[in-house]
Amino acid sequence: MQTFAYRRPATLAEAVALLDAHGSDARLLAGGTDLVIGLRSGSEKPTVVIDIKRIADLSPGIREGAGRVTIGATTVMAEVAANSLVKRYFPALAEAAAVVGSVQIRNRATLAGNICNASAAADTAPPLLVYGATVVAVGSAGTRRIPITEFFVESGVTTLGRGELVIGIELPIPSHRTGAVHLRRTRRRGHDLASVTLCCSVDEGGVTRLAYGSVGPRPLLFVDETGTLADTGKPEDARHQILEGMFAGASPSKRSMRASPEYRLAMLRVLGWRALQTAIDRLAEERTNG
Amino acid sequence: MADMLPIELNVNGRRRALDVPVNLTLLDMLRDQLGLTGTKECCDVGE
Repeated sequence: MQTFAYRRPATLAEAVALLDAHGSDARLLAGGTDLVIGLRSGSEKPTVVIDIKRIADLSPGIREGAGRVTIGATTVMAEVAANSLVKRYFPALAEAAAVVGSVQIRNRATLAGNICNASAAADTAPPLLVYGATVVAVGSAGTRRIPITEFFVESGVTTLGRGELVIGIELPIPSHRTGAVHLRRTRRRGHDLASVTLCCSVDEGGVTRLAYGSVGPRPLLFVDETGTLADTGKPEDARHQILEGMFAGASPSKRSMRASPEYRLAMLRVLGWRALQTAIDRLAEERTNG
Repeated sequence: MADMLPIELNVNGRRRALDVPVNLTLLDMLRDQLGLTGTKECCDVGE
């Protein structure tokens, strides 16, 4: 493997200072499940790797307070998938975290790392979009709260500035009863990257939210506030038209080895409809269970 | 030459203290430095 300097700051201030000093020559190491692959292949060539796992302020954890749940930057996927708060309020995020990579990857990979890597195929991105997550970042200028809808730019690129690092992800606890689901299409069962990854939620107020990834340069969110998609009693044509409008945001690459654009678009429609129906069914179950 | 880092770890119930290059993976350390080749390299490319 290529050579680089390794730093393991004990405080957030030290980490920010290191990031400030080295700029784009620095890479952050949390789980390392994306970074180490890049270091091996040479696609990443940092002069310094900054390990954030020993920063006391960034110790892993999922906390509830002030109407939201905050997931710390070093919290791994296995913990997100198994956490009772996440399962209660954000079940589709737990579902997505549970299918990322393999058991070994999920024990190592962090939720924050997954979004900072900004892969268009990141499975946790659609649920974070659907649940209206906010990314909390710290830099030399202080703390910044970035809505997740303004976080992703394209594969590998986020709106984080020089010297900024993510310290946590905040999720507002839904004010309405909600049914939600994460679905994805992979080439094979188990350890694989998604050809389509998608999340849909329907709430008691009639709002439907659909987010999808792996069918364009970045994951996208669409919202229907008319109540039409959420209501199976509405005319099929009207619902079809709204959902087709949401699918129109997809622009899958011709160069990807995982699936052709035609296949991805076809699967996006299948999974989109299936997810909408499942979200409606789950909302009905929520109502029944009181 | 990569920087070196002293580490301590427990491998199969035995404590080890080693000086390792900072760019060495745990896999390579187990296989090449400790000779424990039961741990295998998997796909390695993340696809």
